This record gives sequence, structure tokens and C-alpha cells, in this order.
Amino acid sequence: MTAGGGPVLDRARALGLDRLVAAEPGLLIAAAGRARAAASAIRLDEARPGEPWPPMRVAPPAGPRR
Amino acid sequence: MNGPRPLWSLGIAALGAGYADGSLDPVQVLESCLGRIAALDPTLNVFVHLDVEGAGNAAMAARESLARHRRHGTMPSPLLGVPVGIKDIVEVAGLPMTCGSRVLAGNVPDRDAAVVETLREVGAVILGKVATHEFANGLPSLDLPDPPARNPWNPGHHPGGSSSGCGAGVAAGFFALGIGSDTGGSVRHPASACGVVGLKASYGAISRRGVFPLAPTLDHVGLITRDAADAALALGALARPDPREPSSIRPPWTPADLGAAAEATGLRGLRVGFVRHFHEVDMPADPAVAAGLERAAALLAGAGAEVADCALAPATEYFGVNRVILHAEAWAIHARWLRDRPERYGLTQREALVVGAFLDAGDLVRAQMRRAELVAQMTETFSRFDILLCASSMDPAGRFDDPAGTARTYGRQARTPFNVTGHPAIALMSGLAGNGLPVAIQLAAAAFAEPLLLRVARAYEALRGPAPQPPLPYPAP
Repeated sequence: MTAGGGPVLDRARALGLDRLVAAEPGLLIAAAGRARAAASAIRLDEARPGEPWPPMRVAPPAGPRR
Repeated sequence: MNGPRPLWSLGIAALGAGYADGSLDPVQVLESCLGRIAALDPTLNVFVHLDVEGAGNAAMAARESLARHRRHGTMPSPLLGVPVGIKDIVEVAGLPMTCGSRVLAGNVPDRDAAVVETLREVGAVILGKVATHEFANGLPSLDLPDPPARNPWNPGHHPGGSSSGCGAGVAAGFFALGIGSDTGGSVRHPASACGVVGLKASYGAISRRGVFPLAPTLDHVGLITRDAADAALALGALARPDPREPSSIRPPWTPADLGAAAEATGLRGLRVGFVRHFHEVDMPADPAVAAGLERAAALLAGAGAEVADCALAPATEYFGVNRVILHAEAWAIHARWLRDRPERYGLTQREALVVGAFLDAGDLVRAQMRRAELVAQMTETFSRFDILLCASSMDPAGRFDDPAGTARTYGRQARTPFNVTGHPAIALMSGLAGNGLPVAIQLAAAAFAEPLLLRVARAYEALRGPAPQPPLPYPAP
């Protein structure tokens, strides 16, 4: 069930964007489309969920080890 | 042009030489720049806040400092007495900073950004704040109080962005150094569009403390100058580790390394990777852009470099990663204002900044995972090549009366890959397109290989010959 305008505007309301929902609902629907297009453009070569990630290193402390 | 060059036209190195031998005076240089600004800025809209009094005080102080250096036989900073324009997302204490937006109307910072602290410390002459696209993002806006900056080569065309005032101001002779920012190419774009030099150093080389963020894991402070030697001097003065900025690092080179490197022009044995697919396959470029790249490759090869084709990931892969990360990070910054006062943004940024609201956590994680792969690929590429040669913009700057064309040309570029990976890159003028506007090449190097990057950039400029200057079809002082 949506409050009006579909899931995009529901999400916008949930995020507190009521003023934009009221004034420019079309802008929000277009933005959601751009977000989906941007996200779907990401292609992963090798890294996969479940493999070691993110590539973070913790530097050893400076000076001699105890 | 015959006779002595006008003072406003002098770059950082020329000013330093004149100050050192006493033939130039910072106050006279400032007066020349102010005359140029008075004559041309009503057309070009570079300055959003011109600080004549503050600049005058700084020029007087520079004059006195130079006298002290001469008395004591000491060497001044290369930026002493150099006129500088500051993008209006960089805090300068006491000067208004709106980031080109009604959202921050009335904002006057009470502190200097780290880069401004350094500029003051070395005696640069800060002329004021210059135009930016709203919050350093996207396209020029026409529905904001400040009009967009215009291109000195033809005011009917945009000057690139988002550091639009920096590019137009250096090209027009308003100041010798522009301090901008570069998140997806925002310094190298105006440099390319205006026929000057844009340098984005390695991520973390110049502190971003006090620079309003667009996307913090992509943001760099960038420099716009008249040539690569000036870029080396400016970078040497401004790259300092900053314990109060989490990404800041101590570069593995000194200002002397950058300066010395810029003097050497031998390229024998240099391995240059020519990334053709960006401008031949991914986004076929204007013929003048492609011809400029071919000329550059031939010039570098003629000077002894080994030029070979090099393949990276398609440009669209970098754009995809950049877009998701930028939208997500920018949303995190702007969400409260988009909730409370969305009407204060121009339409362009209302449309752009709200996109991040519709990304989810998984989108951002996948973008960061792909980014790690692209960084690894770029790092491996620099084990096979010392320098990459590729396009900057695929087109000369578009016209203001053709917003669709401008939007199209803004996206057709190969600068963003080096924001995604953090590697240093520089844009250099290669010639003029059929419409008389500048076109450019781009060089990139391994992380923190700025001495090499600037040496090759300087060599390219020497091989290319003097860059043409804007025709300026309006009254000059």
C-alpha cells in the first residue's frame, strides 16, 4: 500500500523529503530512475560478496616490537 | 605582441624572477590585475567577491617581505606576491562563502581553509572568491543569483567547471593561480576549456580542510596555472601534511624535487601508454581533440619516449563508480538541506543531489568494490608505463544557448578515471578546435609521481611551443 504516487514517493516521504514530494514529485521519480541506472552500471570483475573485502590494511606500530 | 608583457599576463615563475631581481613590485602587479578585472569581469563573471582592500594589504606586505629577503639574501616562497583566485567552496576568513548557492546565503567563515592558511603564510595575494557551479557539482546553473562565469575565448561559451571562475580567471589574466577542487575532473575541465593548465595531484597531497566537500573520497584540491612549471611551483608550496585532515599524507617529494624535475626535458626511455580507446571507442572525440593527442604522441616519441597503446577499463566503468559514490556521499552531506529548504537550490542541483536518496547501501558497497578493482588495474598499468597520455574533454566548450549540448559535452571526458583511482593527472592545451576554442590533452602518472608527471608536462609544452592566447574581443586595459 502506498500513500500516493507509488513506492518512489513513499521512500521520499520516509526520508523526510515531504516538501519535494509536494512540490516536485516528477523530479524525485526521475532521480530514482537515475539512481537505478547508476547502480546497475557497476560491473564487478573479480571481487564478490563473501570474499575478503574491503581492501583495508592496519599498519603495524612504529618502533621495535616487544 | 611586441614589447614587455603586461604585468597581469605574468605567471608564477616570471613574477618570482621579477621580484627576485627587483624589476617587479607586487603592488604594481596587483594594480595591473585589478585593471584587467575591472575591464573584463563585467563580461566574464569570474569574481563573486573581489577583496580589493585585503589584496592591497597583502601586496603591501609582500613588497615589504621582498625587501627583507633582499636585505638578508634569503629566498622567498615562489608564491610570495602572486595573485590568487579562490573557488567559492574554499573558506577564507572574513569573506562570504556561498558555494554558489542560496542555501548558504549570508555565510561568512571565521577561519581559513588549510590551503588558504598556507597561501597567507607564504605571502600570496588573495584577490577574492571566484565562481563555482553550485556546490561544485554538475553543470552551470542559470537560475541562481550569481551569473555563471564565461569563457575568455568566447563569452558565449561556458568555461568548463565546476572550478569555472578559476579557469576563466587564469586564462583572462586576472590572477596567476586558481585554487579549485576536482571530484570528477572539475579543475582539469575548466583548464581544458580555457586553454590553461589544470593539475590534480595525488589524493591527499593537498589538504582539503576547510573546503566544502562534494564527495570526500573523490575530492581533491586542484590548481590552475598558465603552464606546467607554475603548477610545479604552486604544488611545491601547497602540498603539506595536515594532521587535522584524515586523507592528508606527506608526499615522498620536496618542492625542490618538483622544481628540479620541471627543468629537465629529456624523455629517452620514458614509457608512455597512449589510452586511445577513451577518445576513439568509448566517446569518439572532436577531430581537433584526436589530432592534438596524435601530435602529442608524435612529439613525445620524437623526443625519445617509447609510446605504445594502453588499454584501461572503458570510461563508462569509471563513470559508473564515480556516479554512485558521488551521489551517495553528496546525499549524506545535503540530506538535511534537501529536507528543510530544497527550494533554495537551483534546479540543476535539486535534480542532482537528491539522486543519492534512492541508492541503497549495497549499491555503495558494490561501487567501492569495483573501485578497488579499478585502482588495482591502474596501479598495475603503472608498472608497465611511466606516463599515460589520454584525452581530457572530448569536445571544445559548448555554448550557453545550447544547454543540451553543454550537458552532453560535460559528460564526454576522460578525467574521472583519475578521481576514482586517486592518481595524479594534468590537463594541457594542445591547440584550437574549428570553432576557435581550446582543446587539451591529459597526462597521468603513478601515485605520488608528480615530479615525473610535471617533468613530462613541461617537456610536452616545450615541444608543442607557446600556447595561443584568448583573442579577447572586448576592451583590454
